[in-house]
Amino acid sequence: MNIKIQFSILFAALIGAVYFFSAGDEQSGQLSAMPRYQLHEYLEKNDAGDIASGQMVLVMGNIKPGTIKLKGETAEFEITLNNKSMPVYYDGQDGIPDTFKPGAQALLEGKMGKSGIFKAHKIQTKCASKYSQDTVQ
Amino acid sequence: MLATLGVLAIIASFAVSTINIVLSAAAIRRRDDRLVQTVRYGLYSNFFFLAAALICLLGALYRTDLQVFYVVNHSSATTDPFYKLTSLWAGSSGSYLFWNFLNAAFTALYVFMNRHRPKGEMPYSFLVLAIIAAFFSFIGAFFHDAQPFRTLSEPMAIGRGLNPLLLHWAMIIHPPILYVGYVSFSIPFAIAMGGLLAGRLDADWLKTIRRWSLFSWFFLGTGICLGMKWAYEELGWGGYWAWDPVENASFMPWLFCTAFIHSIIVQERRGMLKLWNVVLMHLTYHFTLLGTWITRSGILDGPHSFANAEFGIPFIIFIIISAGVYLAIIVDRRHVLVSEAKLESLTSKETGFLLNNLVLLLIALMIFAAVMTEPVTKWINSYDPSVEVIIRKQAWYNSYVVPFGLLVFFLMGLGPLLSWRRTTLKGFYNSILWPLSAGVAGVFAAPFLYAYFKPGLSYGQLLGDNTGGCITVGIVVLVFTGTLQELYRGYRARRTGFPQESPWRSGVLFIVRNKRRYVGYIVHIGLAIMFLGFSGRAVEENTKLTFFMQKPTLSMQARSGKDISGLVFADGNVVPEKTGDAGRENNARFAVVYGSETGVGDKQYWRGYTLEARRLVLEPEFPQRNLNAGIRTPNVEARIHLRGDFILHKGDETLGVLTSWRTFHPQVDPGSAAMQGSQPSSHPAIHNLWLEDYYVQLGSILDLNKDKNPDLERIMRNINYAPNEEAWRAAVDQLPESVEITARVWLNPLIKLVWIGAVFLGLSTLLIIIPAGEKKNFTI
Repeated sequence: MNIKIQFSILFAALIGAVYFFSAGDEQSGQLSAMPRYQLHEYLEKNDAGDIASGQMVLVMGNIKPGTIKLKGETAEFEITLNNKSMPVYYDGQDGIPDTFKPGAQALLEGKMGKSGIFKAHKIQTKCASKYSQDTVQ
Repeated sequence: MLATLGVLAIIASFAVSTINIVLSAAAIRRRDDRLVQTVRYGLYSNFFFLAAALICLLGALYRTDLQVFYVVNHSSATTDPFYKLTSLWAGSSGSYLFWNFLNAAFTALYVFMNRHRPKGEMPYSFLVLAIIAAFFSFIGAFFHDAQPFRTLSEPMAIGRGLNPLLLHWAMIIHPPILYVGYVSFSIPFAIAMGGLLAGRLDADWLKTIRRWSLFSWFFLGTGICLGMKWAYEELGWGGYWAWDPVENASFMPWLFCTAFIHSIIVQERRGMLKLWNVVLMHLTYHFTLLGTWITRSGILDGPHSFANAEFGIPFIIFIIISAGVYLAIIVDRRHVLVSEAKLESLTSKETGFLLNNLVLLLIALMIFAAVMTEPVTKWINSYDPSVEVIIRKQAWYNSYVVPFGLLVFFLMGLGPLLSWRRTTLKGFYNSILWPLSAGVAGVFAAPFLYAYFKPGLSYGQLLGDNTGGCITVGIVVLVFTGTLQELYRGYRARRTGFPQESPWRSGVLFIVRNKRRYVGYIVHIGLAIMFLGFSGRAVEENTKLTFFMQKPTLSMQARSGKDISGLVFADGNVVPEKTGDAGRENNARFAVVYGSETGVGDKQYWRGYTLEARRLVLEPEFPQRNLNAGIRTPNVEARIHLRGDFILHKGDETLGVLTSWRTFHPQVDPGSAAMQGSQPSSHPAIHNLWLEDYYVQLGSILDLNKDKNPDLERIMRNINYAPNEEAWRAAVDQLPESVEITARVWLNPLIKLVWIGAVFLGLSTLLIIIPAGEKKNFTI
């Protein structure tokens, strides 16, 4: 057999084997990819019933000033974007990030709860801080 | 003034780089050596112009020139002088200038090192470098977010100061080292393309390009490792790698270059893979540009990338054009890149190298696809809203990228065992027998290692739940055994060849005389040590522990009062200290200590360790400058610390004190000097045990009476800056009576091996880079 074909078969077999085992390993309960919505998009889709109940999603919005209630590692607050807002309960799994502040941009990972409160398991926040921006406001 | 000079210098750099392009093109066309000499001076002068610009910015930072917008945003009068200078890379535009400067510096170095070369060989690589420099300075001169010299009509009242997250030793050296790694790739790339254009692809060319790429690879890798160390010690989330887009951006070129520095060996030894190597260098270089673009263009919403930059569009256009043009050149010149030999056997070193290369490439492309999922779906979504924006999560990388990483690691273990051209089946069998058996044994022995960290679990559970970790340990064993076997074989061969030599001398010389090969194997050992450290992640654990604490009563104050400088208690009231030192007296501060009546803190038992929360200290910190000058520190310059003092016990033994804190850095409005809010930063405490790290981060503090978290920072500011006694009392009354503090705790097994392996990897790579041993005469 041609060495090139032999080599290709070897390569394909290795990749195939690793892929087979790695695909089987994806059961840690964490999702590997998630849809991301802007808050208003999410609310629209949710109202229209386009999002299955209990589906994990990423939602982006800004933390509404004056709505933050911190209790231990958990937080209750509202996020807002384009005149829409949504109450959120964060279960504090990873603690409250340093950049969690009124007005900060937040990316929430979680799902809609039954009472209309969004249950977030993870929060990534990017503060509307001036540190990273070099432009005159 | 300095700012104006800086702007002029950048414009001059753009002008001279443009001239360099024209002159080097003319030098190629006319074969004129005098023009080449002129381009040399041109490339040097670009370096001097950018050095001047850099000095202007450093000067403005050092003098805290509050008319310069960059200084206002990233420094302040109270910033430590050393950190004032490091704010050079704290912001997007400053780091862009630094980047541009480094590129010019490496170009000048390259020109200088080749000053004795025949001039006719050089103009092609000069042309490539001049184009890069001109583009960088074009962006620097014409895009205001790449321009750190914008000034305000009036100086601001106060600077915002350095981003508190950057106040860490690794953050001081991590960016420059990483940048050196990134930027210096333009040199091997220019050599590769210059050689290709000139049709000069001899052994000398190969050697030069190999040395430069190894240099860049070393700096890029070191920079990545320092970033990991910083993340671990400063960010307080217990880990060191999160597959963040910024991390991925630096990891992709590293993978391409790793492939390159291996496959270049095949070209050297066997004259094969020539086209492939040029393509790899092309990919490496363009991925360093792409990494810059990903980090700076704001296409990703990640929390630690720079904010949106306007130069994102021209930058990506440049990358696409550059990648396209150079690819066309490679295709056009493919006839000079014809292989001199063919693959002869599947059990040959060539096959090993090639497989390894392909898997590295595959990993880099997988990461690229994952990083680009978000921007690409976002772009499609803007045209067709029915397509959802998708983000790849960490779990995806762990599920798919990590297994392929293990495959590369496995091939890395096998590679050194194979011979060039062909290995007879018997020879192949003999070579891999011991390492492979040891590796398999390692997989099944790994659960015994893990049993130390997870007592109480059965062997089957440990093997079944941590298969990835066990396989990693097995491959580590394979790499160790294989490398030792090869080192021993090399030593035996030397002994046989030079029987009169002393064993010690042979032991050193067999490595030195064939440094690249054997020290290369030692580099593999460094990586294996790191992988063993990574495998600890399989049994990492974390939890939250909560502790009860009380507001100080008189008896507690008497006990704890002495522990904190500047705090004296009298009659149940907290009064500032009097020391007789004007600076301290003017900066007298109130601190508050929470603890327990008995002096022994609340304790929590977890995973064999007992953590005792001894005290919670709330205290302000004033800049040293004000203490020295005896000036009362205004509120906007004071930081507030919430500090948790924990004591770690194991059984009856006290292991040490762990102090973790959160600091609130004031954020000010530079115009009015009024306080706008504050930016907290976390500081974990890490107790080093031999096999694991006990990692603690002070978390939230809950007021048990009000059942919500008090704003302790604000209360402390009110206490320290109360205008009168009434306000002071009101503020003190706001202190919660009893609190529940949360400590987030991680047990990170084997993590020290990651750092040890990284140091080992770096030092052994340095050994290969330094021009000693092997053949003495070398050219760069």
